[in-house]
Amino acid sequence: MIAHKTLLCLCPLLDRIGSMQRKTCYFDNAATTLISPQALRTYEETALMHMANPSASYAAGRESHRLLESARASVAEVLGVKSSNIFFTSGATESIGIVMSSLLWAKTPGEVLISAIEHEAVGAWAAILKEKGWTVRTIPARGGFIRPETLEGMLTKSTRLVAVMAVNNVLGTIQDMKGLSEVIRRKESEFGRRIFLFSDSVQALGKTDFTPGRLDIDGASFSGHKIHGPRGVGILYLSTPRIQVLSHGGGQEGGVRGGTENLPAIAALAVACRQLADRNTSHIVQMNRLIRDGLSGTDKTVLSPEHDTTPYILSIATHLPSEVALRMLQDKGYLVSSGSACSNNARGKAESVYRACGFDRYASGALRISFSHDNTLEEAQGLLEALREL
Amino acid sequence: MPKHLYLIKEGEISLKGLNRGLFEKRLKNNIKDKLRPYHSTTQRQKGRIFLFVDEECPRERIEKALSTTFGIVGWAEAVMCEKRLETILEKAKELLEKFDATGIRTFKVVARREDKSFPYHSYDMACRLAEVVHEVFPSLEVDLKRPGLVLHLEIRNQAFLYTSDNPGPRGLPVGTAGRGMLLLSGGIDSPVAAYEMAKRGVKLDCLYFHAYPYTSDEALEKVKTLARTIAPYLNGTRLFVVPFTEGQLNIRDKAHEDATTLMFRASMMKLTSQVVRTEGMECIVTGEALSQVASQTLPAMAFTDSMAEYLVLRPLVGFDKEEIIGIARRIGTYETSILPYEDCCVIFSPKHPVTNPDKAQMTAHYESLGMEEFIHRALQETVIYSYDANGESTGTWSFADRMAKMQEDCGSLR
Repeated sequence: MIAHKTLLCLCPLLDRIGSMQRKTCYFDNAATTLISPQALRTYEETALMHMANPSASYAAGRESHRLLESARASVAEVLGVKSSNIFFTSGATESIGIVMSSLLWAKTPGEVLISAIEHEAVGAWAAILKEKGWTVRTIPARGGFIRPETLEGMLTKSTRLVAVMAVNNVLGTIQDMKGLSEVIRRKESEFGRRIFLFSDSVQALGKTDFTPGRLDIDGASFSGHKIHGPRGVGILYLSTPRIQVLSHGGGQEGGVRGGTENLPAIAALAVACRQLADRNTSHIVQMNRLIRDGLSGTDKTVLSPEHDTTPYILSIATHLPSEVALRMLQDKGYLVSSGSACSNNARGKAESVYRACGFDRYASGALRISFSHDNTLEEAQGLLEALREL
Repeated sequence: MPKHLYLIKEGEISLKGLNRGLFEKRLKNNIKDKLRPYHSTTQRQKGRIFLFVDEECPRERIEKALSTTFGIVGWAEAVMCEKRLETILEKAKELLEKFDATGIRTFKVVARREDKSFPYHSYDMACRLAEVVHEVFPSLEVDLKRPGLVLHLEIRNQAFLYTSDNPGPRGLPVGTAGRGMLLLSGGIDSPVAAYEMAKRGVKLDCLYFHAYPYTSDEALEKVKTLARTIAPYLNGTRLFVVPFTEGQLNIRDKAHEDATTLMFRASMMKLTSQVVRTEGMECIVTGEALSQVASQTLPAMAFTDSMAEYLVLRPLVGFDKEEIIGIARRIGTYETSILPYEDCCVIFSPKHPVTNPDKAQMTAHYESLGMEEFIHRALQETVIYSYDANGESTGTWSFADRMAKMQEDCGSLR
């Protein structure tokens, strides 16, 4: 197997400025992370040693099936839920799609509440649901937080689903999911109807203490590549597997997600999940604090709130347009993001989350710094100096 | 060795008087340039050029060359044979048998007898060829006004037969009307302006102002793609990339906010004039259309004109956007031009730009900015990318080295 460090050198992104005799420091870990050596090794070994289809009835197939179920058990343990609540998908976007598309079966469309700071993977469903007769309303998120009392005022008898991301991908704000679920359960008993609480939890996994069962969430989505796992694999958590999906395909994953399971990626994802427990958050807190404190008193503004925010994500604003600042930092050897990377594909959308949170005047100059355990304090110090020079 | 044969119709060139030979020679060379490394020869005969190309040369390449070379009004792949009635009829039959007549109901025969020693008159030949057409396609009827198939016969030193006649881009051969520098921005208009001026025979190079990191490398790549796309029409071109970030920052810091665009345009004219002088060109070409944006009003254009040392040509001045987009689509630049990479950062764009500038006031304002130093420095760092007549990259040079070499050459001449 190729050594992990060798792979790092081969990575053109990380090595691009290396060719200009300068080290590149990657601070865009909310967009994607570098796969861990253990996860990568597991991927390779599983692909080579367990090539049989987990649905096959011969011994090798049964072995693949056993490995699949063991990966499911690992993931369930990390999330503090039962194995039967875990479904493997191709990523968070598909997990979200399974839940949102299930609404399309409804004979009488109702109402869906979507928070103002959702990722496009959720936000894009608003137009489809509206087209199919659903009422879609936006839950305001002043300062980056969705308040339970705000949600309570918006819930009606026709509300069928509420979508609130657990940790915001742009600002890093941690939502009071327990408070939100309590409001929903109270209203459910008042209205005598179920309301599905869905939480896109991609940025919550490994960045905050997140157990969907304890928080009383009905459905949640996770992604492998955001936690040093491989791409092309994700998780859908469902508190009860009774969901009417658009297609069962070959009936895999309990009929929730058809298609031959991506076993190498699933096994690697399970390894990445288990490694989360070994992560030391204090190192991340230190780097976050270094940049926060270092920018105070300069013309740069820290947008991420001080409290109830994950230390892994830090949004700031400079006087320059985001893209310009991003290129200047890149030339100094630091890779950060202007808002959400996925939104950069469509101009202007990167700013919408900042505007929704009330940061209108900073929106066009906002930058997102996101840390991982691969970053060092020296790198963070270097980034701080580069930011000060802008 | 067997060769492809194409018949090329000249348009406006045939109206030229004593200079006609120069135009024809240039057209012939422009076509041959595009076909290299394949060998090609030409024969000129009264308003026609017969082009013989090595058989190894792919047909698509010849056809792309002919449909992008100015000075050609029409072209067709032809068959050549000896001037004998039987041979002509036999070759005509072979040619027609290869023709796909699906959906065609009518035909016409056009015969021209340049060589009057040929014993059969044009009308006789047309009748005989019509019989051949009828033999191959019995269902076709004659329609002289709107025929579906036209069979051409031209009796010259040899007999030439061809069926379809493809339109060429018309105009005059590039290089017959002097040389100029195009200001290429990355938008929709400037590549179209290049096309329009090349159509009148101007040989153009392109100049782009790059303000990294305020404009992205993607914007530069987009401009390079545009230069490559228009290179066949320009019979090859060079792209001068001028790094002008410091100059633009100076304008932003020192100029009145509302006048920043005009000051930038003035600097562009000043800098381009220096390049035009060094390169021995005669004009500057821009894609401006009257009143399209604030810097393209009559007073604004009059001001920018006054800052240029050379003739400024604006071939699109009277065009509207739809017309420009139509041409951009036809020449294949539209899809690149609309890519979302800005050629100018928002921080350099004033909210309320001046639309009715006072020329004297603006000139004095420009002079107070001290742009000469920034222009000098930008020219020192200017990079030239070169593209051949097929849009292939042929190298990169430093403009400073080029200037130094030219000065050296001038010195040795003295």
